[in-house]
Amino acid sequence: MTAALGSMPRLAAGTLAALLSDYTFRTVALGAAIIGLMSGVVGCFSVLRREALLADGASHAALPGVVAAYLITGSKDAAVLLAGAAASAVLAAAATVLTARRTRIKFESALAVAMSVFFGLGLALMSYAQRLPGASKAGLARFIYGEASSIVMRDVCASAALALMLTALVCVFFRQFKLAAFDPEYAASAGLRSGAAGGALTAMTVAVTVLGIQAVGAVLMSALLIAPAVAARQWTRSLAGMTALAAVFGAVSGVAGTAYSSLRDGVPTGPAIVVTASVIAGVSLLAAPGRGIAAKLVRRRRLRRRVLAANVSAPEGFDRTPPDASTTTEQSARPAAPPDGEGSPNAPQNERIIPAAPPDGEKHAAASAPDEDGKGGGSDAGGA
Amino acid sequence: MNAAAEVRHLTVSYGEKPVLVDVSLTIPRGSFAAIVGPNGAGKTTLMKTMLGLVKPLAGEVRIPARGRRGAVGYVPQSESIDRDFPISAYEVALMGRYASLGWFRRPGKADKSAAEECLRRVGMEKFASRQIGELSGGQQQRVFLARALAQDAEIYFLDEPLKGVDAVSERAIISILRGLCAEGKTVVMVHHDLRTVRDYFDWVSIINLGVVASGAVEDVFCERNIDRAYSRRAAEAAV
Repeated sequence: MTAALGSMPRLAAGTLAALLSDYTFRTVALGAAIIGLMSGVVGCFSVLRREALLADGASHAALPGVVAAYLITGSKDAAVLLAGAAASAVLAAAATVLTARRTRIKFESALAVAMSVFFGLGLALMSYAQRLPGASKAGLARFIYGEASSIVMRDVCASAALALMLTALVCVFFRQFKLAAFDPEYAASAGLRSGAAGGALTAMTVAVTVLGIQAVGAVLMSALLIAPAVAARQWTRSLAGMTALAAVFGAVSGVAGTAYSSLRDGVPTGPAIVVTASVIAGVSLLAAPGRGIAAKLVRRRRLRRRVLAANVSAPEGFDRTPPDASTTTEQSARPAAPPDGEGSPNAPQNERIIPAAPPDGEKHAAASAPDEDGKGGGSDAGGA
Repeated sequence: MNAAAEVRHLTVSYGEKPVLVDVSLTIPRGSFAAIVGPNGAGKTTLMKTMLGLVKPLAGEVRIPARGRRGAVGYVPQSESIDRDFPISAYEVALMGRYASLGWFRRPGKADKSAAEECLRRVGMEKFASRQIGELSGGQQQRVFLARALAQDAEIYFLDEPLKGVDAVSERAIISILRGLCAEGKTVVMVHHDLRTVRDYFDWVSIINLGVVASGAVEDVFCERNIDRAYSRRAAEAAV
């Protein structure tokens, strides 16, 4: 927490202390941190499974559910409203998946339609609900842009419970999730039920999305899923590392965003959190060692200098790993490989040609040994 | 005949146009079988349907080995995976052991050394810690082959494993696959290079929408059948 706040050097120490001693701030920041953490974890799998768009659709589609739940029950309890949000998010996701499967419409198109229709419906219902007496106090508008200050201790406990469950699931079934994200077809072919793991991942994404819209808002929630994952990918080479790092980035964004918005009146929490996450992602894309844009430029320049220095005509300094260093045992045999297509088992293997295999015995006649003068007469197919 | 895989009256269609029509063929146990045919003939679809990844419109596939988890090995085309996935070659090979682990058990020492051994067999041990995306297409193919080997399957399906592979690697892969057949395992492979069919395989299925011919290489791999398979599309277009 302090580390995140430390990244804002202009903050006077006094303000910082005041902020930290503030009960409301601590509650809200904790809530936002937990949501950020879960978003980071789940977001990694969404991004790697190319389902990030689905999360975006789910968060937008949650809006009419929130308003409908309020209109039907008259309750402004967060649990009730979020249940409505979950219902409409799942409905939209199901509609999208069914449309994509049953018609020729592509998944993205179906998602775009479902998302806009649901979000539009949400806005229409919202403006209707706002005119009802007492509705403005229900604070429905907070679900559009998010309002972390509406988080109370009970919400924090609920999301902490979900976060624990989710973390435990991811730890225990990490292997299954990894396989389901990496190569679901292989998993299915080997008789592993990757469908179950994939389904669980999607369900977790929807759950986190819905939970997050209270703090971050329907419009921006998906950014909190995607940005930490994208940032984390830059710094690590393993899925476990990426997941852990994304969790940290998400939590830091939650705390820093909340701090910023409570220090500046009028800045909503959702955008502040998302901007923080995006800054982390931007810095990671630029500056990460290895994969970062800066590192790539530096490497390229260095290499270029070396190649130029080593005299363009004979670039020995160009230390390139041979493409097939592994097969060293056979490397020696390589140059002397096929002596003119004779009986060699592997004739040059580029394009396929139709062999003119003679009907009887004789094996390799077909493989068109270079027939310079073309006196062989019989063109490619007619040799027999 | 002792069949490792049997396909009966299989018809597969993604949209309106069928991709495979009434395909019936048998692949005997212990054989090294090629599936050949022109582009768009339905070779990959046939393989995916046999693996249960594509649901047929009609017909059935019988693979007795499917009773045991992990008894069917699959080496997909390397383009089918996300090259940016944060995973090393070794981790991919280790995935071959997952099928035998069940839900909760973590990979043990035996699993890890099996994965390493399989990487060695395909000549990729030096690249074990490389990210999958840093490998060339041919190297990725070999890593996927290592994963299938680690599985210790009964029947192996390979979708064009020689695509983009140089001559040395091709020879190495073929000798590994021959070794599997010698152990009594069955290898089914989508293959593109008609010139090597006679050298490599003992069984071949020539397809184009339907089965043009299927059987022992010396019986069915003749010019007439190949011409029929490869000119059918052209003939159709002319009509």
